[in-house]
Amino acid sequence: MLAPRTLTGALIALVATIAPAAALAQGAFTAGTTGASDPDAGAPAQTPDAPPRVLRFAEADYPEAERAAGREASVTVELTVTTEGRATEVNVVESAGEAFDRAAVAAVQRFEFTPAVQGGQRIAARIRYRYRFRLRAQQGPAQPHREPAAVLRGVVRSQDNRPLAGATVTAQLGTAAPVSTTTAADGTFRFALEAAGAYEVTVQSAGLRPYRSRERLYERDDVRVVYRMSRPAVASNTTRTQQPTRSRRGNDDDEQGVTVRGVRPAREVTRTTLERREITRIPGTGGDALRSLQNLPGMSRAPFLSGALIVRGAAPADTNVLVDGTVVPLLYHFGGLSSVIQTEMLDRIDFYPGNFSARFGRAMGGVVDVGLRSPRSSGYRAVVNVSLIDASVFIEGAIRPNLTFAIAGRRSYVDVVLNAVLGAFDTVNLTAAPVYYDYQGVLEWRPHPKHKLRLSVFGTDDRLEVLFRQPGDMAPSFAGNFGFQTRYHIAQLLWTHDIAPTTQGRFMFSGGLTGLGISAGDLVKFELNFYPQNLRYELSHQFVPGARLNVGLDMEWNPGNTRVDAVRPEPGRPLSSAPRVTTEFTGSAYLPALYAEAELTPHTGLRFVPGVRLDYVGPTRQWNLSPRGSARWDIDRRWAIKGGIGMFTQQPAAQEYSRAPNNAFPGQLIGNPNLLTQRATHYTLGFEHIFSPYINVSVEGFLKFLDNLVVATPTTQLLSQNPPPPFNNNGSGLVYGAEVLLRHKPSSRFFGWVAYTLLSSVRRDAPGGELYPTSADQTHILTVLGSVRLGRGWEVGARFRLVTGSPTTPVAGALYDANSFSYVMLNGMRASARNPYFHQLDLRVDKTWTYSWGSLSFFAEVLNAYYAQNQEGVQYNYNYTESQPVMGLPIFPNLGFRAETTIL
Amino acid sequence: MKTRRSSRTRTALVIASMAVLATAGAQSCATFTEAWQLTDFRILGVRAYAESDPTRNSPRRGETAVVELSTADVRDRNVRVAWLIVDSAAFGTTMTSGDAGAGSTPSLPAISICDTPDFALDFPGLTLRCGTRSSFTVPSTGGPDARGRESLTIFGVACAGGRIRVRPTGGDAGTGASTGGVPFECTGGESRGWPFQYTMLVGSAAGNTGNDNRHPQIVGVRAGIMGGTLSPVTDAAIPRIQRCADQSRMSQCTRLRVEVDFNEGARESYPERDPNTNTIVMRDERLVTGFIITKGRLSGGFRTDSAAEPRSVMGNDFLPPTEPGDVRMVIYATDGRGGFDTREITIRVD
Repeated sequence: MLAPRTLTGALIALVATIAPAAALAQGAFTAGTTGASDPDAGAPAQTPDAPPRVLRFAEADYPEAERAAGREASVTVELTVTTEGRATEVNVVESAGEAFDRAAVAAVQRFEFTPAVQGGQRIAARIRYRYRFRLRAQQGPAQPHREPAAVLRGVVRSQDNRPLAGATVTAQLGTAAPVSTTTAADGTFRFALEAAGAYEVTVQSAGLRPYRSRERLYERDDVRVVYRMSRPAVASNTTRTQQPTRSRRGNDDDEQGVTVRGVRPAREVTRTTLERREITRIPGTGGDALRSLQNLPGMSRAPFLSGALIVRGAAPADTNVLVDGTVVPLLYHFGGLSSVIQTEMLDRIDFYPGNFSARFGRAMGGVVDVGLRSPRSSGYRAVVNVSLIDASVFIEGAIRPNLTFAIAGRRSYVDVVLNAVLGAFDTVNLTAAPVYYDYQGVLEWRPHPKHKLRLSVFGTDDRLEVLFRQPGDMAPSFAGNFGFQTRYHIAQLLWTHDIAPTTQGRFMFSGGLTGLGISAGDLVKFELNFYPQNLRYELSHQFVPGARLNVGLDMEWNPGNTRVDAVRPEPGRPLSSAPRVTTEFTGSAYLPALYAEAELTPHTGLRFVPGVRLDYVGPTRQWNLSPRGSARWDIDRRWAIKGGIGMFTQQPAAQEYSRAPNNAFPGQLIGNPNLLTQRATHYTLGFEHIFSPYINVSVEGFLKFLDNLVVATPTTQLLSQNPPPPFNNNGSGLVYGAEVLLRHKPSSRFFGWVAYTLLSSVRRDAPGGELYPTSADQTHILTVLGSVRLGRGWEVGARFRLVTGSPTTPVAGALYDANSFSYVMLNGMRASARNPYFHQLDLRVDKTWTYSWGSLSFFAEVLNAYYAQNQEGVQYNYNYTESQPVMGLPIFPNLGFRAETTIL
Repeated sequence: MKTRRSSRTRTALVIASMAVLATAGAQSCATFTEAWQLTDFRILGVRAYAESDPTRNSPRRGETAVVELSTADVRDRNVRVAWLIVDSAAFGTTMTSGDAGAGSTPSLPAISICDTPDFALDFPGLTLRCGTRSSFTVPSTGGPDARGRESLTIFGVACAGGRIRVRPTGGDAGTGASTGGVPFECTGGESRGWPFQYTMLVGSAAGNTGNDNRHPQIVGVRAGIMGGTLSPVTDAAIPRIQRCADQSRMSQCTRLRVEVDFNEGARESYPERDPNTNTIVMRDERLVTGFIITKGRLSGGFRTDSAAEPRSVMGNDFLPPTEPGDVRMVIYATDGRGGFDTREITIRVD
């Protein structure tokens, strides 16, 4: 084992040497809920002062076959406008078929733009553009239809919100001739404007005070407005909205807007963005965005109903889950049936299976960073979801244009069902049926264009309690109340601000309660309450184009208390007679950290992100330096290579370093305060290739060395005359493998991907000890999924998974304990057996109806459609002479409705 | 109307979920032998006592101790038992789940043993005895174990219808655990063996360690039709009940209620050091009672005293089998500190 300093030095040297030369890059996938999600987990999207505009339009070659067939079409593409005004990364967002798509992409790549400007500086921006193919009159070459420069449309309403018909709306640009129109019966109007610019808009209606407004329309803008007319004595007001990024599906008449967001390349040099359609339509996830994570490469299949996140062979506890920078203890409600944050509340999901940025720490495995969305800045929107498992509601809106809110809540009703079902059994009482709820609330205030303040609250509560009236056959002491409760309630304050055009700051503070309660009959009662507080501040400054530095402070303070009331196993005594031991300790873990990270683009297409993080672990009084680096080289428009190398540390768990006395073992401590910090070194190397505007592939190999892993001392040794510490750092491990993601991005009809992971994850508990596969060691993990639109609002999808069974330790026999009348299981060789391959097919069908008031969706899923008998474990009879496999999910149907309405 | 609709919705939800749960249950519902079914050879418990006072199950150092293995079998097979006795202080501790091979035992020759009950070996700190009932002298020296109590750890194997052989590995239970940490195995065509462990408290001459303990005594068994009066069961008063065609858990057949009576002092008070306060406190023993039958069904395999019910009624409900005949019911109990008693009754099914 290398000494930490030696390894650190070697890493620094290695990063500095290989990164520029080999242009390695690391990979990280991002599942964003918006098509142009903020690539920077920390910084918000920037709205430029001036968006890009088309300087030079390039005509597309009308596909011959399409022209011959007399077909017209529109293709929506998403592209990045560079600071030089070039169009790069042109992806088809809404397809019209391969021929049209190819022609549109080729044309847009020839466009020239004026770059976006913010604070006087040119910035790169990601925009959407709809290219329309229209056939001209009979003869002559086919030419694309010229779109209007901008569209202004909306509704004129009275003060009591009634639509006003017959009102005259006039728009005038400078001294040009004004254009006029009259509102329809429903109060609507629409202008297709020839030029962008600042328009003077006048609305006149008999008996009402004329209304004037100034609307600034940029190239390709599609702006919706609501004008409210008042009586002469009363002032009017205006609500201006920008059209949502995507048109409503199934409604081809809906104009495609352009959403412009300032885009800064991601610090994690590679990211894959899952679009909302993909996230909400993946079969088997119930439309839950966070459950879509489970389909990405690098993610092992969690045991049935566990809901654990197993990333690249790491233990679930080695992966951190954050909500806008605040660590939360769990991502899924029990059973993994649904996530603890509603899809509607999500802005982005960043999933880093390894080699993550220096701004993240205290994790050896991966990071899932979830961002809550900013509420809409005008009008209101409400969404209701109802499924067989739970129901939820989401409401967002604007109190004032710069003061917005969003709230969401969800509750399960499994308790109603289980109470009825278990009531039939005389030996089991459901004293508190399984029930969960979660909530999120956001209040956002933008007092100034350069400042955004956001107060968020989010929390969840899962609980279950079962009363076993009679002792069990396996252990006579096994009776009483069995239950658990997990919960957290957190408040978070977020402040983002632009200090200067090239300098941004982000402040976050959060505090709350995290609790865990477990009871196992009369044997064990465990209660853990933490009051975690997180403080983060990051300063980001661009020194010159192509060089940015991010420095940050990341502090965590976890005061808390633990109470364990348990029987103390003793030789020769059944547990029901063993003495009870109460252990209670209060403590706090102070975990400050500093980090710095540079984002360097020395050459077009080459990106290098070196970073370093310094962590202090208060309870064990240790400093840990973690150098990291990643790089990406876009060789051309189709090929890129990426890679990274870095060191990642993780402090032992609270009970492992606790200095509290252990009443169960007099004279000993609960933990070992001299434990070292656990450490992992990650190496990744891979490439990406774009086959077509829709199809691309990403391949990445990874290697992780783990050392200083905490290992518990066997109980037998703790009972010896000179017991060793209850925990040591003798563990080490090795994880390696490869991931492949072959993806078809969403087109007008189809999306899907093939994700494959080859994985080996082994550990040993002592130097020279037996090397054994961990429970996360799933050699082959294959996920194939796809979804097809059938038209008229129908969509069908399927997901197939094939995964190597997890390692298990067989039972070699049993020994009769004549004191307690129970049989003691005797393990065979550790992890020497495996469950059979897991395979499962999930199907899903969706139907959406669109109405004037909003939309209504229905989905039906069938999990494990062909009833695969997947073994999840083995259960035994009372003396371990008989066994049979424990099967996983049977055929499981799930239904749900979703209703959405928007009020402008 | 609204209520009715709500009720229907709930009913539909319940039915749908029950179907799902039933399907799930069908996948994992075991058809295992229950703990209360006597289908083969099994061990009930160990009765250890001082030869000079058979009611006391905590022999003192230097005294002669007697150990008796209580077993039950559906067939008439000769039972051989090997006992390996070590001082707990030297051994470390007893077995816990997954800790096969805890501690260490000296190597033994690979020979067949206990073909005769008088086979015996004595090593320093280790005693080997044979026979379902055997005696040995409690070592005069020794010390408290990690829990501060003086005790002897006994590993053994009971072999019905076969012979006991010392495993040539010398007791390396960590690698081959067919008999756990016990370096013996039961061999033979129709044989069935079980390894076992037992911890015997060692009393002190002064009698002030809290180890002194007396066996609980089953003084009577009462039985009667459920809901009716229970009568004492004797050889002359065998309880009778009609056979039952429905053997399901929810069977509506008449059941027989059986309750076990213990002697007045079965739940002894004993001093014990409270690990929380490090003071000596008095505690009451908690009884655990097991029930096994040869035919029919019981409502459970065990009854225990608990914190909520420190003097629990040790009763069970017997569902008669489909065929008439005599059913054996074996009742065995422990006080949680090594004390043991057993009683067998017969139930006549008409």
